[in-house]
Amino acid sequence: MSTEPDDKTLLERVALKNEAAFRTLYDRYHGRIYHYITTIVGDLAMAEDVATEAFLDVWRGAEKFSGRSQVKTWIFAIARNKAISALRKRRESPLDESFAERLEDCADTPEMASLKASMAETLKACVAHLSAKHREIVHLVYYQEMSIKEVAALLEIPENTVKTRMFHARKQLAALAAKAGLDTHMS
Amino acid sequence: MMKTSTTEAKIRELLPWYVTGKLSEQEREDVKQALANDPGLAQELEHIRREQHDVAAAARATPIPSAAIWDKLAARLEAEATAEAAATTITEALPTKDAARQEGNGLHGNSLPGAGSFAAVTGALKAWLANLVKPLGPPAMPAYGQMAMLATALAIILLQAGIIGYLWLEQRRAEPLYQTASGGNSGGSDVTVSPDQRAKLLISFQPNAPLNRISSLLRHIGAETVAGPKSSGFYIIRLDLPASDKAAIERRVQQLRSRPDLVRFVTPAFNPTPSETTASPDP
Repeated sequence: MSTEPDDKTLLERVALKNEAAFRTLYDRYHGRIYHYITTIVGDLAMAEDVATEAFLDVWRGAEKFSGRSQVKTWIFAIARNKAISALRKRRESPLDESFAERLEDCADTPEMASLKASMAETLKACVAHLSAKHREIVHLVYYQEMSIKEVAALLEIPENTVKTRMFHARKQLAALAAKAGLDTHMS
Repeated sequence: MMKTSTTEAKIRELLPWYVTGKLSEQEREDVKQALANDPGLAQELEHIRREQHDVAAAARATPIPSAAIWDKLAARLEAEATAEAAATTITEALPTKDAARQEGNGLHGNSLPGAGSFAAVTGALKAWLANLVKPLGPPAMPAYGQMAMLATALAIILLQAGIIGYLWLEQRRAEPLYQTASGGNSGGSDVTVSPDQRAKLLISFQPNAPLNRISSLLRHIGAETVAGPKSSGFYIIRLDLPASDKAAIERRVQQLRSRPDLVRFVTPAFNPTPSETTASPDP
């Protein structure tokens, strides 16, 4: 009977330049990391490059891992830093201010009716139009299922800030969803 | 005693983590109690549950270019390994023992390259320069810029190759050809132990292990292949260590065993008679 080695063991092996361990760690995290980066940069091609860079840093920096945080948080933090610096290099595209108006404008059209049938699609559009901070925290809590502690460690903010930020993100999401015709309990 | 109950506002803030099961036991209990007493809260919880499900489903629906990311990653790692190997080869090739000691840089001056090593050096230089040029490639500069860089790089390669070739020929003329197996950064001793007195290992590699990675690993630990492959796929490799230094040999064995992606099996071999290539056991 063989059990999969835990993240820390894998990273220790990666520090010794063990490619098999690196591949296992990659297989374990690349999907979630890619989705996380996509949430931050909002561009699939860019996310692909940033994910590559992030995993290269994991390979190069494994020996520097001090063990003060979880391996998962450490990898996510690398990805986050890479994504943010990639965004800085690129001029950020201006926020789509007309999004809410468009939702209102099309509220009674057949297109909107079909959107209503697909709540997930509408919600996805709403999430995409949250502010960067709110989009990120919604992603980390709802998709990555990170605990308050993990989010606080990753974003380097107090745990109370994590809770209030998520609360406000949900309010913002609810407002957008309400405009799109979705029912909500927060607006 | 500390108050453990949480206010209603605090409870509302915790609901998303209650849905994902990421609360502490105490927090979970607090939320449970509040839910039992507040139908409005229970309704909100249900909404959060749907919201979480839909957001997660939407994120999951974005296709992951797993192969593309891995291919890029593998290419970059390969380039780095080549550059590292190139640096090692260049380090081994350039200075003489005396010059290295004078500079106090710890280089193995007696690793005089043979004709094969010379080719390896020029190849390594090319790889090294290619690696330098690569980051300035398509996104950073136009085609004519790249051409200019490549032309410069080629000129440097030829110049370096000429210098190395000249040094090599000068060295060959000055002293008899003697090549140690000492690796660049393996911490190996560069003592002048005769080849027959050096430690040997029996080793087999993973069937799909890339040859350049194996070469890089052997170079890294200061080993060279002296026999094989045998019919069973085993090789005999020779270390830059005296056969009597059991502790150091064991460390090298452990180094090799820490690379199961490349090494399938390795163990110290008995030092055979001088006719090692034919006398070695074939397990």
